[in-house]
Amino acid sequence: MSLSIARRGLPAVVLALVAFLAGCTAELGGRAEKKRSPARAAGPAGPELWIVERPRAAPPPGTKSSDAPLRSYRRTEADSPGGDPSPGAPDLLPPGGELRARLADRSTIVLPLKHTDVKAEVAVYVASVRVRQEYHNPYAEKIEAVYVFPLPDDAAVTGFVMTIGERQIRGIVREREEARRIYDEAKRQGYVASLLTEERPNVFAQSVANIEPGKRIDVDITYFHALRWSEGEYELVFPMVVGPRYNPCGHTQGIGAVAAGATGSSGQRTEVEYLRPEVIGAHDISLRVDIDAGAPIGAIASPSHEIQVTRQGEGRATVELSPSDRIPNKDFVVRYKVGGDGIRAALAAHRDASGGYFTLVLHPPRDLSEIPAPPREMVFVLDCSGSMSGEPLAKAKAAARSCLARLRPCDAFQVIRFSDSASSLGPAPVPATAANVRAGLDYLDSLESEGGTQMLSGIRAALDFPHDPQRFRIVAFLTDGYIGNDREILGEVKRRAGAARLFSMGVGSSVNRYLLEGMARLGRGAVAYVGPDEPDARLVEGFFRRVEHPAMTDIRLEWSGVAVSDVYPREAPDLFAGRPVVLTGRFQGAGRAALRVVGNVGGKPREITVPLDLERPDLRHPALASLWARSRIADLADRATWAPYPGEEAAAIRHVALEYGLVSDYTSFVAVDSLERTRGDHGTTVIVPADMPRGVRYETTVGER
Amino acid sequence: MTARWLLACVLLLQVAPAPAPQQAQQPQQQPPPPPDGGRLRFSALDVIVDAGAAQLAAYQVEVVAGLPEAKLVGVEGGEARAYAQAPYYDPAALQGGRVIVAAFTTDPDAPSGRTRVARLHFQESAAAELEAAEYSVKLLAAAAPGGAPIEAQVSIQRTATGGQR
Repeated sequence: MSLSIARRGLPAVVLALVAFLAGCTAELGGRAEKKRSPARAAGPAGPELWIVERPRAAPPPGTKSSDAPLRSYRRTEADSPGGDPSPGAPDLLPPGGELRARLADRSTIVLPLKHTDVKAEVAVYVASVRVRQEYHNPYAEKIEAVYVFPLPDDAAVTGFVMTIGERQIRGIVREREEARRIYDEAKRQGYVASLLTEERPNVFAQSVANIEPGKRIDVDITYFHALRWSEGEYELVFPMVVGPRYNPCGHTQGIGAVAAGATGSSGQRTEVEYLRPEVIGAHDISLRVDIDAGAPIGAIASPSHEIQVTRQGEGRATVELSPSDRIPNKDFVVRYKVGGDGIRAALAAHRDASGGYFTLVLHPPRDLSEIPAPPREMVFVLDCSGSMSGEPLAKAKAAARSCLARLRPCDAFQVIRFSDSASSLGPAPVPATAANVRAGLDYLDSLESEGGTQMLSGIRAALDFPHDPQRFRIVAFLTDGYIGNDREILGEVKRRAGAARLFSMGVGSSVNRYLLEGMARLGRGAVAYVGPDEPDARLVEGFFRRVEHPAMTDIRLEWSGVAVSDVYPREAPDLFAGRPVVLTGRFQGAGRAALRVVGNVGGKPREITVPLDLERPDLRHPALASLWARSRIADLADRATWAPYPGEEAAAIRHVALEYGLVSDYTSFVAVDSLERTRGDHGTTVIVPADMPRGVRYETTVGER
Repeated sequence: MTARWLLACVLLLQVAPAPAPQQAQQPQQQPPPPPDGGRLRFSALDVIVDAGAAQLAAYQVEVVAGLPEAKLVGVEGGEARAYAQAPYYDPAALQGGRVIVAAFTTDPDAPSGRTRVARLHFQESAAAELEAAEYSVKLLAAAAPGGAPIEAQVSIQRTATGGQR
């Protein structure tokens, strides 16, 4: 749209801003399609409610509002055996009162979050996504709704709009503490307000204050992110539920997993409340993806959901979630192949008043897959904690078995398990003889899930083995990543990885991709995922495709023709066969340029040259400025995990996020409607509980109290 | 429009309140206490562009608060359908204390004459000595549907806020 206007000659200053805004905050128009799964729409009428008032309690001295746990009130009868609705547990009552729901039918519970509608537009490999959360108040009293939900870990969240009736109010990015103070004040004075905070790069919290009975308030969140390219396919992922995290003893900055209504019982800064498996939240999701691949699209498939595909010509298609598959309890994944030069020509650039931005998909040398790998030392690390109980651990064990069966006699291996503590098949890697492999398989068979996720002990056990320098060390983690001290883990990987390459294998329906991607990035390896309905062979094949050939290592990037700076990832990762990497950076200048990639393959110097044309008229994608800023924030956040004085990184993140209008750990969106005040007190806080992720056992992961 | 009304009616029905609570049904109905000793308040400024006889297809305005205590907390759309969507703001300019908002429309019914194109929501100090705090506004650009710059006037006015529903 901005291009068509540009041709008609709007003033330059308008054009610049319009182009910037249209790209950075491209909103997808139209109201949400109101389709609901018949099965889920057929729930009972609203729950029976009690309000129990109690005096307002002042926060503890010195408590920062943003440091306090997200508050909730809800206790359902399902969580309160005996079902006494009277104020039987006064210590747990929140300030301001408590609403309790007695369910006539335990199958469905009415929630303030009624529906989520997702619309994504994909242009080549950049996705612009609008997530609409429809809040309503089904109760007879005013409420504040709080919802903790996931987004992709690399999402550059640039847009936030609160809709009240026909009125739309765009939220403003402010420093986190300041946004919280503004929100709290507006809430206290009775104004409708909303607040979006980042709890982790892939976990966000949405608060909407002063929703009056019977009223509806929509919140639109807009973000950009780059699609992954894996196994010859583009992959778009939309996470739908935060998996239940385990937080090591003494850790308070994690994400607690508690039963619906057990608010504050985890002692963590953020909490996700989960419905018992026999209860379903009356919250569903619709999703639509419009793909403009820029090249012919091959097969389109989703390993996670039932989808409906409509094609519009060779390079365009629309993917919609089937109406029968709308429970938000697993990641949505859609994959598609593209033909022609769609992959190799993936350079995108943008230039505005602040300079030039680019992303470039860098491919490994074509002949890499023809060179055999040197002897390897492979360490398989299996997460045997409670969250892996059942299906996930079975899948992880099956994948590890397949890997052991593919080892060569010249390789060495070891198997480590961890839950509350770590143990291993032996004290050091052993040659992959038939007898040792058999022992490894027996060891795998003996593994069972139990206890917590002390991943640090697993990391240390895997990376502290004495290393045979004649072998290429590969450490493969098989886990769901359900851990609350993500950053501590990432710092440990960075400190201990040494010459090893760390491959993370995500197992499950809603894995912690922030952790798994980070481990692979800092461990200079790669990441792969397998869902509950996918064969483990996919995971194993992908893994071996990487490690059966030497990587191009020690990579150095040399640019010519343009001045390039601030390229992320800061350290160019190894290039594994079949796995391109995406570089994001800034440039000055124009015209033809070149990137020379210099590295080693099997100890011998190699180089590849990538020609770049930064004058092409189609190289305009304003989202790239946001993507670059998001990459810089991710880099700074990584560095903060091991920096001796992380305050400098924090200040830099704050600056970039405010300058580019992004949500981050240090910045939040806040929106206030100052026109009218609602009547009465600010009401009762209602936490929106999540469905349990598919395949994850409630009883081994969720704290009741 | 009919469909929209129909949808609104359906939504209204869907969000009808659940049965009334059985206890303590009316917790508090009196107005909330004054904010933090009366220090903070929320207010709104209407941004009005008068394009005269020309249709307004794009605009960019800059608003600067007279006092740094004023914090932008929301940007709302205008009264005409063409500008009903919340306009964009420039986050980099906001760091320098300037509120720059802009929008464009391809709607053939782009408004002409005097129209409210945006409403800015602020958090302000409510202290008596700050009552007279002023905002200044400047039109940075305005264009007609063909893209040609147009002469236009911009003004701001406070909107009555804080009334109870």
